[in-house]
Amino acid sequence: MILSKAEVYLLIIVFVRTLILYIVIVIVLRLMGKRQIGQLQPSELVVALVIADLAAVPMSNVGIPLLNGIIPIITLFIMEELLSYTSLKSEKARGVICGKPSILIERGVIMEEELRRTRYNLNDLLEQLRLKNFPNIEDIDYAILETSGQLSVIPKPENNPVTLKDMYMQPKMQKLPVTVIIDGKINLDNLHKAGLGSDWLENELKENKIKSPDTVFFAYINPENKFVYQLKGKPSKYR
Amino acid sequence: MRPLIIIIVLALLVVTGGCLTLNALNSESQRLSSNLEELEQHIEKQNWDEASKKLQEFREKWDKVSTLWTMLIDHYEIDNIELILSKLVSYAKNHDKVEALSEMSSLKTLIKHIPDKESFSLKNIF
Repeated sequence: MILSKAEVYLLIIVFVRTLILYIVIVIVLRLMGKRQIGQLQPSELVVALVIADLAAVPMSNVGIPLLNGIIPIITLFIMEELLSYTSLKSEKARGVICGKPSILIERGVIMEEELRRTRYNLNDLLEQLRLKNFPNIEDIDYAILETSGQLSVIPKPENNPVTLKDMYMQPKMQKLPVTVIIDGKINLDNLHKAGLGSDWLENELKENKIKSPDTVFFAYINPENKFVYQLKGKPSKYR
Repeated sequence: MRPLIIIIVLALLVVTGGCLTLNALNSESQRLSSNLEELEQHIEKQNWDEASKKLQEFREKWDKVSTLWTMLIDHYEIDNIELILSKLVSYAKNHDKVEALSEMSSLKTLIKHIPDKESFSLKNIF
């Protein structure tokens, strides 16, 4: 045997500790919300990083009680939730916690003082504007540095893309496509939400000469209320 | 409202859990210390049979206590106490009063200093 009994036990201990911490982290991050890294407030980003570090140490170091890792994670979670709750409820707190958006370009004029205050240099600003497809500053009415660090651009009215409204066209009401079969499994919930029953689905399957829903890879009801499907292992076929 | 309730419950759990464990650490350590006092007197009087018996008793108690303590304190502290305990057993067996008493005093300090180290005080926070 290459590993002694004690060493095998140690491996299992590390394995179990890692499992426990993994579950704790997944639960905590799940409870913290769905926002993605790019949209995190600075404090949220830091908390996410600190949680990762807190979990890593007791994972590998068997000499530290597991609680030493779990308690700070829970504490950070409590504080983070408290902060986001207060910022949700109070406008003033939101300003302090999240900061306020800064206007970097106002009516086509670059606000020098604001750029200096936010430590955003001109090249960064131009780069961001180019990325947003506005190479000319004169095309822009406002550029706003959001609290998440992203730049949002409001072009001058004459530079706005043409919309259906401008052309006086009446679009049809938009509906969401409804997924009904995924990988052979029928999603009855969605079917009911679309106001249809399983009889309807059976009917549609028969009409399309599909023997059983098991052979369907993906099927949905498109906004025009048509049944669109793709069989397993076959290219898509439209009615 | 729901998230607020969750975090309040969680915070209460953490704080009460902390208080309870502190309490447990304190009372266990006091009980162990009083056992050690008795043990020390027997060693001082070179009452070796009694001392071995007391030592055995202490060991059993310690084994029970240590399972809880490993969850709360650094494991090397537990290892230290185990090490000194095994030395003490051997000194008692060989009737070595001087060494036994010196190990005894370090064991007492260790047991006493664990709740001190975990206690909620300014010194420990900073």
